[in-house]
Amino acid sequence: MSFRMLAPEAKTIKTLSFIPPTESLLRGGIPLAASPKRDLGVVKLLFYWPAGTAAQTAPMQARAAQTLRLSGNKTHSSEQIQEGFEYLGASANPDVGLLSSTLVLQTQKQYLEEALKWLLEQGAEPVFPEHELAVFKQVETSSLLRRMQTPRYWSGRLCYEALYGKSSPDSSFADSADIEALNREDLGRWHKQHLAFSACRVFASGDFGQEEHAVLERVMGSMNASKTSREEGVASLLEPQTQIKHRMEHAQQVSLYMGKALPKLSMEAMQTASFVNMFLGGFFGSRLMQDLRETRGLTYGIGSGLAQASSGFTWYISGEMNSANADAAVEACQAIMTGLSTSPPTGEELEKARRYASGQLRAGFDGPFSLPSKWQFLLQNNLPGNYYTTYMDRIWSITSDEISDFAYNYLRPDSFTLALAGIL
Amino acid sequence: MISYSRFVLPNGLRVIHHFDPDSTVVILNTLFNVGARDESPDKTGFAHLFEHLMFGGSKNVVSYDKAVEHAGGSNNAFTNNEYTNYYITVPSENAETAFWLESDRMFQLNINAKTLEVQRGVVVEEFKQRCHNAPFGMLWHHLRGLLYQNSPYRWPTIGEDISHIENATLEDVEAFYKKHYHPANAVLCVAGQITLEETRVLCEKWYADIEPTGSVNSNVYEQDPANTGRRFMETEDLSPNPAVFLVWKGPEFNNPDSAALELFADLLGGSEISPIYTRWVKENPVFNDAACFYVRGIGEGMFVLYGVLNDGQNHLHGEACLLQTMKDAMDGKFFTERHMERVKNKATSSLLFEKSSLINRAQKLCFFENTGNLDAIVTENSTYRNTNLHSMLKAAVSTIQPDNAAVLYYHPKTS
Repeated sequence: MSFRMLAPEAKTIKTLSFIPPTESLLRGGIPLAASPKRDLGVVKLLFYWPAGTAAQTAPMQARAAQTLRLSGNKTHSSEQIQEGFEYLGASANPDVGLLSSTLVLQTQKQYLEEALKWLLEQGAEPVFPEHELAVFKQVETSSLLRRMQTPRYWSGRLCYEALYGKSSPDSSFADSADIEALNREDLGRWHKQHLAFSACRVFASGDFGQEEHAVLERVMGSMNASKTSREEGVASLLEPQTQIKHRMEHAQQVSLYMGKALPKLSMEAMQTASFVNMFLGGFFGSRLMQDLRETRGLTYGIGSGLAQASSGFTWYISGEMNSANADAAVEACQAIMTGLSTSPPTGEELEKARRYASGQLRAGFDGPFSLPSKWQFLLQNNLPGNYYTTYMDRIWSITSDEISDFAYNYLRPDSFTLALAGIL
Repeated sequence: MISYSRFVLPNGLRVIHHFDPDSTVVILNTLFNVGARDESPDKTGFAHLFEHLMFGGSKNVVSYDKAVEHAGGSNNAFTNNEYTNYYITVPSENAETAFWLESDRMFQLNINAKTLEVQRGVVVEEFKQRCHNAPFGMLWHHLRGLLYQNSPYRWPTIGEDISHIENATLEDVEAFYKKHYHPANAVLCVAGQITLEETRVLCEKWYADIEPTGSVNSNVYEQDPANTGRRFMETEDLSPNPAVFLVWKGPEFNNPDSAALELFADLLGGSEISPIYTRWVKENPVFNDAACFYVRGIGEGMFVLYGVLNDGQNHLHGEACLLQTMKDAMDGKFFTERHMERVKNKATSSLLFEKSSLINRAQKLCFFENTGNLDAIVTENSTYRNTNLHSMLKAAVSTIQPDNAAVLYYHPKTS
């Protein structure tokens, strides 16, 4: 017998140990969390504000304000500001989610002080110049019109609009008119209300040690932290519709999107939902991927996930397929959802998912820049610092019956809204 | 700086070891020296189709993915015109599982009619999703087709025509495997929380008995004559905005001009303060998006300059705007020593951030080994730092001649 026939023993990963970030306050009270130092020569500073699209009063407002905060102030133009970063080899990248806005400063360690000073000087009092706003509108409108040509855009949008209502923050898809309506005054107000540096939290990672901490103290220490309030979203749930169809003449495929609004969950329920989602479509070995792609070749990709919502999460399934396969795909999705409660994973399937999930959980903490996004997730969802270590425990303690019960309560196909877009 | 050790097994497999004491995982990154340029013109898309088939199990592994998941690992792969790259990440205590899995599919892949049928279907859907269902989805088909006449660089990785994938037979793929998937035509990087000694022992155990079944890829391809004159095509696309794309062939990765062109492209149109963007998106809004970049291939490079037109703007004017700005840059009207310092600082930062990721380091080590100059990974930053304004503009002038462009006009679909 060839030695190759014997699989090496694969050990189970049952514990998660990582060095948590060091939390402190800068002199003026701004919270700082720092990952363990790594000798890389580069530093990332993530600035976090607890206000995202859920808090905006008009579509695109949060993103426009954060994107344009470095596009000019009373002394410097957009080009001068950007040139200042690029000359140092640094960058400041904004991002906006449903519940938060962030700005990530990336720089070589030797230029940290200069880059940080430049960011704080140039981003503190933006004036949102009219011509920069006009360019933003033009670029965003064109980009939107291109996205609107894809079935995936419409299946997702229509599903969210049906779930939460068109005017809900959870489905605030902008149209061209919304982009056109953006104005400097609103952006200024948004910035003042939500994006002051004194109201941020900072997460440092990479080559960040005592010297770099001292840089932060020098540059930001004198800022008095201002109080921030967490923007709580209010979900406006609608009755689920069975099916929405959107025909697109040029499309070559059908995009499927199924969604359901989940309420705020306890930590344990959140962990259960994450793990149950694994079986549904959360990884390559999930029932959806195995059945629709690997067994039947109906799709290049189909998956499921839990997307942040203003007052919980949206549980979704999404994929693209040939129109001839669309009905079969919908039926398969529904059967798999039902099957998770009637035939919950046991034995090998359960063991495989446990092993995979625990390995991935550990791998997710590998690397010098892995902690900030995890820290952000905890902040956004008011979860405690032991969320990940207890999730490891939950992966190994959850029973088949618990999975079945959870799927029965939350994964009934008739409680999901289904949107299909494309060649129908 | 990346530290590494290299050794070669008697069967020709080149192994690179890279130790990371801070990591909790081990990565095996395997690069096979076969890409879309190694396909027959009537069987394009095979290298990529084959990438899918590599996950269908092997002689002693019934299900590759199940075995990876059982070990708590993850895996993926990508294909380009020049090579195919597979990577698997496992918890360090399960490193041997990765050796077992990766070596077994190099040893004897299980290619069967059922797997082929399923993966053909998957790739056909991928083709539709990426190429037919997305604005500018056929871009690389058109650009490569314009730029190359006989060279196998003329088709994109996904394949020239969907029918090539639909018609792939079991014999075709078996022959492809035998020819290209063997140790002498591969580079393996073992990276992470694993010592050199462990790596040697595991490589010896799992890879040493695999015989080379084909030859080492010579990487010699049919060359087109130098392009002369403007080559042009226009076509319709899902994008509601018309667009202009201009493309030129450029030097290969190991040529210092390649790095110089990357810097030039970054300065000319790589950011929102570049002349292409400020002139034509911000000051005179001919375009709503405009940029340029240089694709640094091992065998060939491509310089791409483009703009997506605003309503009311026409292609000819758009092309003239792009070309004039490029010409002004090459004539020395824009860039100074400060620009050079800026773009080199960006490149240095980018390399440092890139190399902070273990998977990136493993892939780069394989890539450089495959270029035939592994040690160049250490001096990669110097390649950028040693470029000066004069050498950069010289590289640009010798590569990008405005009257020698391949030009593509996109129109919005009318029917």
